[in-house]
Amino acid sequence: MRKYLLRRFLTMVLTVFIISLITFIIIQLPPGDYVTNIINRMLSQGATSPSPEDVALLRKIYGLNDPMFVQYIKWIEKIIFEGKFGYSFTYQKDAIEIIVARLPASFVLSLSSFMFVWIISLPIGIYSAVKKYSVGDYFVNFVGFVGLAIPSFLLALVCLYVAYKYFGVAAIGLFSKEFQNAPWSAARVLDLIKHMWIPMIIVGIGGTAGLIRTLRANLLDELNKPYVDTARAKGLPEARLLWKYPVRHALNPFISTLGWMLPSLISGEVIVAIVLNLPTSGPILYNALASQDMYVAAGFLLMLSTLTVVGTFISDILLALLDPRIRFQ
Amino acid sequence: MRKFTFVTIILIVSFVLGSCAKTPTLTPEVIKETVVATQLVKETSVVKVVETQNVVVTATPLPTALPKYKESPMLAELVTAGKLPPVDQRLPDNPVVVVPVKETGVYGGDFRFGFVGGSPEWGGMLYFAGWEHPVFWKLDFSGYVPNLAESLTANADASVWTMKLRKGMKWSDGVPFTADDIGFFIQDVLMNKELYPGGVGGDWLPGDMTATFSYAKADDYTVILSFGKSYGTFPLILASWAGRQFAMYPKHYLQQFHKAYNPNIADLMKKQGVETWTALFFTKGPDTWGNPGRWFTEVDLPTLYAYKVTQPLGTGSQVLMERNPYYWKVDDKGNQLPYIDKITGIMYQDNQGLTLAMLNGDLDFYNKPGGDEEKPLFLDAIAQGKPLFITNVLNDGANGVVLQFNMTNPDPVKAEVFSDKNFRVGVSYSINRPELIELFNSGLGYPSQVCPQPSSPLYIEQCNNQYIEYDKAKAQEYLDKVFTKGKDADGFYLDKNGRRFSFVLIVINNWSWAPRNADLGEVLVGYMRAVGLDAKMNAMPDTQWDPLRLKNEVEAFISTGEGGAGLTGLLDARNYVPMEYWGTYSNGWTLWRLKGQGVQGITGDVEPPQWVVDARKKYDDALSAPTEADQIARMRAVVQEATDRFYEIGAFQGGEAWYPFSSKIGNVYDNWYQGWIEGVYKLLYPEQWYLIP
Repeated sequence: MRKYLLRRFLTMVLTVFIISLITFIIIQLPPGDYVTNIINRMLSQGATSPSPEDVALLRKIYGLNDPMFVQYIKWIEKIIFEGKFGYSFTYQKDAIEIIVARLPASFVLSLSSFMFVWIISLPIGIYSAVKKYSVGDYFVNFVGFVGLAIPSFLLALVCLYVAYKYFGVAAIGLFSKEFQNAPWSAARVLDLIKHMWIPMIIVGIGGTAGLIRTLRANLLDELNKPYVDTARAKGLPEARLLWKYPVRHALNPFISTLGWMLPSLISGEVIVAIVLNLPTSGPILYNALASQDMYVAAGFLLMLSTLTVVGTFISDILLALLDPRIRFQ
Repeated sequence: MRKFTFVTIILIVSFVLGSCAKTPTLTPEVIKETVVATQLVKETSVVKVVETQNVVVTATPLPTALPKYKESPMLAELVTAGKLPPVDQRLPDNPVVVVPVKETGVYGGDFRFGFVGGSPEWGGMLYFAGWEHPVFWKLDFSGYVPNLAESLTANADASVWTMKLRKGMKWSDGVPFTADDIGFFIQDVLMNKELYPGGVGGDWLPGDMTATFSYAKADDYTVILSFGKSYGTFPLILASWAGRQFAMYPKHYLQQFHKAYNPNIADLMKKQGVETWTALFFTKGPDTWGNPGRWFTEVDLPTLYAYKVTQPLGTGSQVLMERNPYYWKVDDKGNQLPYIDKITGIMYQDNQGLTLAMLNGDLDFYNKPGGDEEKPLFLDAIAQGKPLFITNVLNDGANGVVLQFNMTNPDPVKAEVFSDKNFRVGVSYSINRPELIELFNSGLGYPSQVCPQPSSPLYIEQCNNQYIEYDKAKAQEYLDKVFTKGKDADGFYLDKNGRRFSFVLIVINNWSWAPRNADLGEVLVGYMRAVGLDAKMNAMPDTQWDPLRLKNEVEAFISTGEGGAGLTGLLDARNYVPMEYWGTYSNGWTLWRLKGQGVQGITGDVEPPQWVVDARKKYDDALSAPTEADQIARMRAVVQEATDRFYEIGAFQGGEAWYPFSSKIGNVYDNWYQGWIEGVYKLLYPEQWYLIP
C-alpha cells in the first residue's frame, strides 16, 4: 500500500510539472500579448501609434521582454518560493489575490449544486433501476434525458426570462445590491440563500441526469448477480438488501470521479456564471483569457489542473481503501 | 436654415452670477426646436417652464455674509463640521455655468449605473463621471465651447495658442489647478526622455510638430503653446479624446513618483515592487497612453472630474464614486454641480444580464449594448408600468454600412479588380438599400453613400447620392467592364486568368456597437452573389482579425461609418482619406504609414502610390489650416476627392436610435447625439442630471 501511494505521488508531481510547462506555453500561443492588446485598443480609439521605444518600455514594465523560458522560470520560482502567481495587468495585483477573492462564492455554489445533484439523483436512480421499464422509470428517464440535452446556459436564459416575465424579478447575481460589498452577516447569508437556488438548480440539473443514468445502469448490473438472489432467498428484507449490497457496489464509479469535484469547486460552470452574472471565479478566468492577462489565466489553469491531479490522487486512495483488488495490482 | 437649434440648454461661460437667490417666479417660455434627423424636417414645439424657484435647502445655518453659491447637503455637513472649506472658497472665480435642460435639480441620491466587463471607465463611467477636456464640443458639432480652459485663443496663423485657466479652480483635494500642472504634464511627462523614450507622446501634438513645439507659462493661469506651424483644428482636437490629458496630471501629487522631484523615489519603488521609476510613475498616475482608467482604481489620485472613486472595482462587482467637493461647475442659480451625490457602478458579466436589470428597473442608467432588438422589450416593460422612458438618439455617423474592398490586396489580380472604380460602382448598384433600411435601421433613414450628413458644412450632395439606386442591370453593365472573360457555367464572373473570381468578406462579430454585423454580411454577400460575384463571408472576433490586418490578409470588410455630423468628418476622416486605421480599403498603405511610425508586427505594408500621398497631404493641410472657414473649404475638397474616387460603398444614413433611462432621472434631452468623439453621454451634461425624489 505504501509503495503504491509513493508511486502515485511521484507520478502526480511529475504530471503537475509537465502541466505547468504546457500551461505556460499555451498561454503564450495566441498571437500578441497584453501590450499589443492595449496598443490595438488605443489605436482603435484614435490614438497615435506609440513609438517602438515606448512599446519596449511598456514590455519591460510588464516583464514581457524576456525569452519564454526565462519568463517561465521566473514565474514558477515565484509560485514555489513566494506563493505569488504573477502580476495581473488588468487588476494590478498578484494573480493569486484575484483568484482567491472569488473562491468562496465558487465553493458555495459548487458544493451546494453538488449536494443538490446527489440528493436528487441517488433516490431517483435507485428507483428507476428497481422499477425498470415501469411508467415511473420511463418518466424519470425522459426528464433525465431532456435535462442532459439542454445546455445549462440555455436553461439559465430561459429561467431568467420566466422569472422576469412572470415574477418581475431579475434573477441575476448572488447578492442584492445592498449586500454586494457588505461584510458577512446573518442577513447577508440569508440574502445569498435567496439568490442561490436558481444557479444551484441550473448548474446541477445536467449532472443529475448523468448521475441517474449511470447509477441505474450500474445497479441493474448488480441486481442480476447471484449474491442478490442468495440474499433474497435467505429472506433479507428488500430495502436492507438493496442499500447494503448492490447500491454500495454501484457507487464505485462515483468514488473514482469524486476527485474531479475539486477543480469544479474552483471553476464551476463558466458560461452559466456569465449568463447569471455570478461573482464566481469562472468569469474571471474567461476575461483573463480574452484580454491576454496571462498570469491570471495561467494561474487559473495551473490551479485547475493541479487540483484535477490531486483529486485523482485522492480518488485513487479512496478506491484502494474501498476495493482491495486495486491495492495489490 | 439653421440646422440644429438646441435652445433647451445654453452653456454660458465666463459669466459670474451675482444675484442668484432672488425671488421665486415662474416664467413660461415657448421654444421652437428644430431637429433634422432625416431629410424630412421634424418640427417640435416644446413648452419649457423655466423654474427660478430655489428648491435646494442647505443644511447649514447661513453665515453673516450670504454665500454666493449653494451646495449639496452632503457637503454642507462637512463644511459645518469644519472638514471642508465653504463652497465659495471651493469654486473658481469664474465657474462654468450649465443651464439645466429642463429644471433646477435636487441634490442627493445614489445613481445606479450598469456596465459589462472589468473596466468601469470603458464600461461607460468615463462618459459621465469623467471626460473633462479644455474645451467641449457644441451640441450640434459645429464648433466648441470652453470647459476646463476659460478661453483658448490663437494668433493670426493659428500656430500659437494661449490657454487661460480658471483662477481659483481646485483639484479634488483642494490644491489649486494652475499652469504648473499643465507645465508638469508637458515638460516633465511628455517631454521626459525616460518616460517617453520614443519622443514626445501626446496625441494632440501631431508628429510633424514635435520638433517645433514649445511650451511657456505666461502667469499662473495662462499657458502658451507654440506649434511652429498652423494648427487650426487644435481646439476641436482638444474637445475630442486627444484632449483628455490636460486634466490628468496633478503635479502636487504625481511629483512624488517622478525622479526629478523625489530624491528618495527608490523607497516608493520598493514599496510598489517595481524595478524602474517609470514603471512606478505609469502605475500610480496615468499610463503611457494617458488612459483615464486610473481615476477609477486609485482612490488617492486627485481629480478634476465630477466624481471621485471611493471604492474601486477590484475583484468585486461594484465600483463606488462620490461627488468631487471642488467640482467647478454651477447651474444658473448658483448651485454647485453635480446634483447627484453618489454613483454605484454595477458590473454585469454579459449584455443579457445588464439589459434584464435595466428592464426590471434595477438600474437608473446603463451602457446600452448596440442594436435595436431590445426596443420591443423596453416598450413592453414601460407598458407594464416599469419606471423607464425612451429618448431618441440621433445618429452622428456617415453611414450605417461601410463596405470596403482592399485595393492593396497582396494578390495582384484581386488588387486590380478592387482598385477598379467600375467594380465598386457595380457592387453599389447591386445593393438593395430600401431593404437594408427595413432590415437594419428600423425602416428609418434614407439611402446614401458614406458621406457627411446633409446638415454638415462638409455635405456634398453628389457624395451622398451617387450610384445609390438598386439596379441589377446597371450593376452587370459596370461589372462587365471589369471582367472581360465573362461568367462561368454557374453564373459567376471569371478573372483575367479565366478562373472564377472569388473573395471573402470579413465581418467582426463581437463589436458591441454592431451586434448584427454578421447578419448584415450575409445579406450583402447575397446581393453580390446575385450579380455574379462569388463572395463568401467569414465572421470572426476582433482578436482574430487584428493579426490578419497586420498581414494585410484582407479582401473585403465591413467597417464603421464615423464622420457624419457637423465637423466630425474633419477629425475622424477614416471614410474620406486613405491610410486611416479603419480605412481598410487602403489597408496596405495604412500599414505602411503605421510601420513608418514604428508600429511593430506589421508584415503586410504596401508603399502607396503618389496620388495617395497627395490625398493625405491635402487632409493634413485641412487639419492645420488656421481658420475654420479654411478648414471646411479644404476638407470639402478632400470629401470631393473621396466622392470622385469612390473608395467605399455605403447604404443608408439617418434614422433614430433609442436609449432608455430610468424615469427617476431628471434633465435628460429628448433628442440627443451619441458618438465617441464628444464623449458619448457627456454631451448630455450628466452633471445636471438629478434623481427625482
